Amino acid sequence: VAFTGHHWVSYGLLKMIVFLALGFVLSRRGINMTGNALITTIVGATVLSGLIIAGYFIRGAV
Amino acid sequence: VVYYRGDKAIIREGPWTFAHSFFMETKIHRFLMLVLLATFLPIAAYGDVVRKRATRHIILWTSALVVLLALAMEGKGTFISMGVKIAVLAKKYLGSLKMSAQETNTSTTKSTGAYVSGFATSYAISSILSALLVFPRKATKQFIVV
Repeated sequence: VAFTGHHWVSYGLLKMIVFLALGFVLSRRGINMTGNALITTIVGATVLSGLIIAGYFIRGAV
Repeated sequence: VVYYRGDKAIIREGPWTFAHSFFMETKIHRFLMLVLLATFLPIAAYGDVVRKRATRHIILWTSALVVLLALAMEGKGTFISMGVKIAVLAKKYLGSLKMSAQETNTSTTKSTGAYVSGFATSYAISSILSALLVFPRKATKQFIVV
């Protein structure tokens, strides 16, 4: 896992590659989405994933 | 990533183990969200931003999320550094790395204050950015052009 020297760097790099690859594939599928729908998706995903991360580690910390 | 290992060992021996088990763990995971949003920003900004109102809104919302996440990470950093300080103080004055909750009260109050002020600042900045989104089209256009 630590082919970059640290597993967190590898993890970040892997995430970037997946993000760019998915973005490339999905952008070619011609998905129609309004600006507001995209904003809602981005903000919703960020908030929801933040809450999931916090919930998971609250369980671990208690 | 490089220097945290030593701090982590100190925090784990001290009374504020949650500085690592909650604050550092959530911080490193949310950092990756920040990286993805920061990568998305120039992609969203590509093209004619001035004429496309929806694109401007997407950029502003993403920027607001980046600012909020960055400030939240700063707030978490406060707890992590306090976790190290409290562990070192406990060892110095008590001879042990463990300290009672009562003895850590003063530090807790100070740290919580810093955390709350961090969130207040981030809330203020996000409010300003959100206010920009409801500007009339002409005003927003002028703002972007200027």
